[in-house]
Amino acid sequence: MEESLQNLWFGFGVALEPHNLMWSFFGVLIGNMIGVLPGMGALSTISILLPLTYTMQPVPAILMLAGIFYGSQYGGAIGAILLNMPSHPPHAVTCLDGYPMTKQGKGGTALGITMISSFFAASFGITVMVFASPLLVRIAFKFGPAEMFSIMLLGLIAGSTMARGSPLKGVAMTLVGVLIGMVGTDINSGAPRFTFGLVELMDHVELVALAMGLFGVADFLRNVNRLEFVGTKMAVRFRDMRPSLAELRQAFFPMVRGTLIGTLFGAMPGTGPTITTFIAYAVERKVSRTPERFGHGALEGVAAPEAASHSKTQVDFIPTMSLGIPGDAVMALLLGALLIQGIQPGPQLIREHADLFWGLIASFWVGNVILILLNVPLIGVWVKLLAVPYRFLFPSALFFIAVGVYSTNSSLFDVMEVLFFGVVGALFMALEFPIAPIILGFVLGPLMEENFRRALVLSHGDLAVFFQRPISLGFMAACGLLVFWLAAFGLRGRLGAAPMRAVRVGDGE
Amino acid sequence: MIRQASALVLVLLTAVGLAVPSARADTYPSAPIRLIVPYGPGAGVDVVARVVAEALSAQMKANVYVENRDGAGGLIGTMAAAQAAPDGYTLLFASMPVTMTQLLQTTKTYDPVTDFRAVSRVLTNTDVLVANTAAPYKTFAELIAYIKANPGTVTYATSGKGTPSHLEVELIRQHYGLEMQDVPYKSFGSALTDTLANRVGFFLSAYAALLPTIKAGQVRALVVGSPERTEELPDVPTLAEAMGVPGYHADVWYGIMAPAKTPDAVVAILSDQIALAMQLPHTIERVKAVGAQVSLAPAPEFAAQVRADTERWGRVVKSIGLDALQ
Repeated sequence: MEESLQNLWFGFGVALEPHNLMWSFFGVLIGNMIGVLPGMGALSTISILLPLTYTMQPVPAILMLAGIFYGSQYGGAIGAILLNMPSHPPHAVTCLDGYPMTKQGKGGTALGITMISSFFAASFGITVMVFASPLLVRIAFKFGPAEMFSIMLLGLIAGSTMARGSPLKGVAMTLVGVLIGMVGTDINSGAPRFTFGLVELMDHVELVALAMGLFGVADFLRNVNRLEFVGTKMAVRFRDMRPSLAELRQAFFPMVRGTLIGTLFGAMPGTGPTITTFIAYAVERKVSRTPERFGHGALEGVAAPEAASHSKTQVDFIPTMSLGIPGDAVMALLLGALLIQGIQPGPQLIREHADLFWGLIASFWVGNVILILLNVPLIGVWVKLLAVPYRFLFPSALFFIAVGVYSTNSSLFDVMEVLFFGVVGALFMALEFPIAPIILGFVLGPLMEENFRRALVLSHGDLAVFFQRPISLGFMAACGLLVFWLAAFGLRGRLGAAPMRAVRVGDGE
Repeated sequence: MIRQASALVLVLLTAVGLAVPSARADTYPSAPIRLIVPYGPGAGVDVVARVVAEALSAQMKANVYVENRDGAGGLIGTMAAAQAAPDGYTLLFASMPVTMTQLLQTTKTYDPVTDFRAVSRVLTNTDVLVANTAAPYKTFAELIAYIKANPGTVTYATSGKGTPSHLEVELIRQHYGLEMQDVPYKSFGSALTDTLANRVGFFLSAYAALLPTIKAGQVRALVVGSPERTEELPDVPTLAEAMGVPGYHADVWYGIMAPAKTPDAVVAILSDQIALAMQLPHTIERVKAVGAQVSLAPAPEFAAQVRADTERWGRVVKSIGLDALQ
């Protein structure tokens, strides 16, 4: 404990050295500026800027990359909330309520809450990282393929029914997502599935292309010639951009719950931030006394998932740094950056490169502070963007989507994918099918299949493996309960729908 | 109007003239050289490619820049390089899987022997076979005996079907006639996690990436794939020693290849310059720091190796029916 504090103090010394601080700031700034462009998710922003750091010293290089990561993540939230364009997939959930808030003229509030939530969650995640990492590393090993499958199944069931409207439509869309996720090379056999002979599809459908198409482009296709401005045309006053005290109070507990969910998931490397945000959102909707507000600009629906994604990301750094096992694709890139510096991440990293490890941890926090300092004045600028008439704003956004998606893999095929999913998304919207479950199914489906089949290979084909391990059994039981509850609730809802709705509305007001 | 048009044509011609440098050997290189890496930034191959590109840039006094063309397990970037102009200004940073990936496809993608000219082998990266410290076998001989005593029960992690970590073990399996089960993983990270948690029997992968976990005593190295024992693990035998097959090795090479019709003179210049650049003490140091070893082979020797590997992996892939899957 005391040693950790001392190390952290040493870390702050490293992170606050003027030239290190400068690189941190620079990273956050360009990450923020590039991340805000639609089509440039955290992953593509980092992979484009990664080569810049190859010639730098290890410590400033990794500090700058951490800064780029934060900046681009927050920049992505701006696009998701103001333009309904989630360039970083976890933000797909933030769109659900963030964009309706923007349409009601409360985009500034949503951005403010996002910033506060992410800062709170990141600070909590960093604390966990400093004091509880040995414990978390031990937990990580308890999660084998069987456990992973069970938790993904729970996430899929919880997430698919959370959308507004008919749960059946939600489940249907989740399955569509799972199907799209099947496209590509099957890792167990090496055989291509649903690739139609296209080499480009062997690597699976591009996640960013799918998210940008289904959300941003589809929304554009639906609104073109109908909207003059996004949100209200009223002049935005600075006072309107800051969340009020009442709004802060409203967002507080969702933020705390989101943070805890993110931390929990952070202990399980390989689960990824997207499922975390969906679960956080589903939980908020379940505990809320007014679930009907979700999807229409509920503040809780922004605070919880944003907090969850940030604490998850932060805690994910533990296996990345101490075991050399990246939690997700972004972490894998950061490991690559360490490698080029001749630093092999692994158990000895903390001992052999103490300055780098503790400097990085301290810089996480410093990076978050810089982000806040930078963005408090900038919120106004971002919101002002909405004053640009729709007929200029959205075509420009589309342009950036095309450029952003193209630049990640230098592939025109990916741009076509965006367009294709835009049309598909517009069709689903017209038929009132929810979009978000597609993303969930797309992300979780392949992970579920991979872990399911791996668990069976390891158990030599014995299905009982999912019920013999205590952790897996617990998740399976939760799945069963949830399905039972949904079925019972659905049936009751169908039998006595009218009286129940009356009671609910009465509750809310 | 006509004057304007002709001026435009002139400008265009000049631009084209500048953009497409001649392949004449006496002026080579007179423009930046594009080194295609068929994987994304930060990937293992990208990391070593950057070091080689930097060394070559300094040696040739020309800008050798890396272009990442990720996708389809290296197919997309490799095919792009095969189709590039054969003028020496587009090169491929190839690694041994370049002789494996195309074998798994049913459609014709590229042929590592006929679509490319091997310029020079540059580096090698040895493999190491590790097992959990709690596993019932402590040496390679014990592992083989254990698999023979418990046919079909031992599992091993791989980075996917038809990758070095799968096919190298497959070769060993065929040598001893063993029965065991491969477990494909999408990433090195999750394969390592399951090895650390003792969920899989063993894992054969890149030495440098596994060394920290070996040193920390979390996994045990049973055998290394290099021709000689390594400096860091002098007690771990080589595969050649353990199997009693002199010359047997399991490692991954990296080298530079050019489109098939690249002129001899350009290949000769490149091959010489690479040899000079990679023998500098500073470069050897940098290569070591990123976990590889300088291991030069001039064009003819490298070409023979590419041909031999393509045949070797072709036989293995055929024998387990991986080519018939699709």
